[in-house]
Amino acid sequence: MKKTILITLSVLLIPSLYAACPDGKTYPVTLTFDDGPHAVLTPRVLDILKEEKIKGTFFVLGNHFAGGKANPSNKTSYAILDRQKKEGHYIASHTYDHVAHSKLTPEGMRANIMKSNVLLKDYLSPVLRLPYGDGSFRSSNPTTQKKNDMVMKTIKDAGFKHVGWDIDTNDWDAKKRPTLLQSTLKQICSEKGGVILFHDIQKYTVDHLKEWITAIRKEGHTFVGLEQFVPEVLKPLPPEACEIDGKPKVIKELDDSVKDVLKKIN
Amino acid sequence: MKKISAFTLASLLLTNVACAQAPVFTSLGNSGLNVFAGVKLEQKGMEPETYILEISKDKLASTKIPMPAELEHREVVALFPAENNMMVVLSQKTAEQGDKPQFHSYDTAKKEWKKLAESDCVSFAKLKVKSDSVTFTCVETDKKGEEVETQKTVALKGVKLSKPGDITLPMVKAENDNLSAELMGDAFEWKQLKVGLNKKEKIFTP
Repeated sequence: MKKTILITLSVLLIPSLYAACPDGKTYPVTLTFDDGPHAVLTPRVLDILKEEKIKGTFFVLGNHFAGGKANPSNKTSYAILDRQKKEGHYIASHTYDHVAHSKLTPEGMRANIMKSNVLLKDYLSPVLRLPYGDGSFRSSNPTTQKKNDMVMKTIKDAGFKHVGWDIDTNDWDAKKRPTLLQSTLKQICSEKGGVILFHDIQKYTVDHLKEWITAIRKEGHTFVGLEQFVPEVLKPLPPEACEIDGKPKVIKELDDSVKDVLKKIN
Repeated sequence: MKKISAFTLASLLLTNVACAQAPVFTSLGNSGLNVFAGVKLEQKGMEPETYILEISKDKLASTKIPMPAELEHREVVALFPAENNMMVVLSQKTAEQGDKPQFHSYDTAKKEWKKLAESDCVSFAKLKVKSDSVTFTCVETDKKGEEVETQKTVALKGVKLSKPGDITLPMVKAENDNLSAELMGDAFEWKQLKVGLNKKEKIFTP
């Protein structure tokens, strides 16, 4: 009887000893990495995730695969995708070029999304993250909001669900690095867990990733896959993601279209 | 029943208050005549709203300077006092990575904004300020996976910065003559600004 009471008390008390959030709770989080793959750094991220038994999501940029599998210089990039897939991670689109989509026309947007889809169709989940999350936020300015609505409609029409983030580590920002871990832990509590944004092209991130994972776990939080927050990630890529009017889109046409749009912006 | 309804209402109200985060200071500048502080209001799912708070030396009173449309969602990263009633604003979109920082001038007398320049340095903490330029110590990761620092200079035409020197961001304190300013609270979530003039001190909130 005494033993049962002790066990029950331990089960009730131990989590609260580790719970760092002011509400006394711990939360599930998922790791996402943008802008890769990086030939040297992404494999190091994969080693850490394997060691820590964490399933991550990689939002890859299509321009790392210019010319597709026919281009011999893409061998390493595609090998990284093969490893990510084999080790159970999700691979999703971050579009082709890292541009602000609210500055593009719907045609330009579609081209920048489609070009990645054609190159990476064997790997992608039907979820997508826009560079800067641009267009996915609501704005108090009606003109900006109108553009944002257009961006999100284009994403939906292309067969994707947009995935943003709940916790922004700002791992790319040199001036915010000293407070990165503290800020991340604080956001996990205020957002009640969720999607964490990292970049697997930053040396600083890769050098500190293991330490941050340990710190997050020490607070009692748990690592889960993206499917816990976005079940759509488990679905296959729909045909419309690589086709226009039911026909496969030719990469050459998209090349010209994207170049044209980028020329206008610059 | 009445008690339950009141409790429910209070809970709903508290939930709504919790969703809208309080505005925070993001940067600081001091011309010796005025203190300027960048302010950001973030709400989940919304573009951040930004503005600048100006505190005048003569009255120690604050005035809100609204941003032009092109800057309303950009974080004010640094503020540089300039000659002829000018203030130069360095801004950047901080959601995800890759946005190029921009310089704008603000004429405090004419209340006019003007875009001056853009830098291709995305990540930085150290700045070298000269009267007509700002040099970024740019932190980048190369293809080999090594971190490298490069110097990138941006010329600022049409303005003359009045306080040259080396700056490490975030700038939490700024002194100019007998006017002092200090951001208080957690880094990048500063909720108070202490402005001192001679022996007088006043606390401002965004």
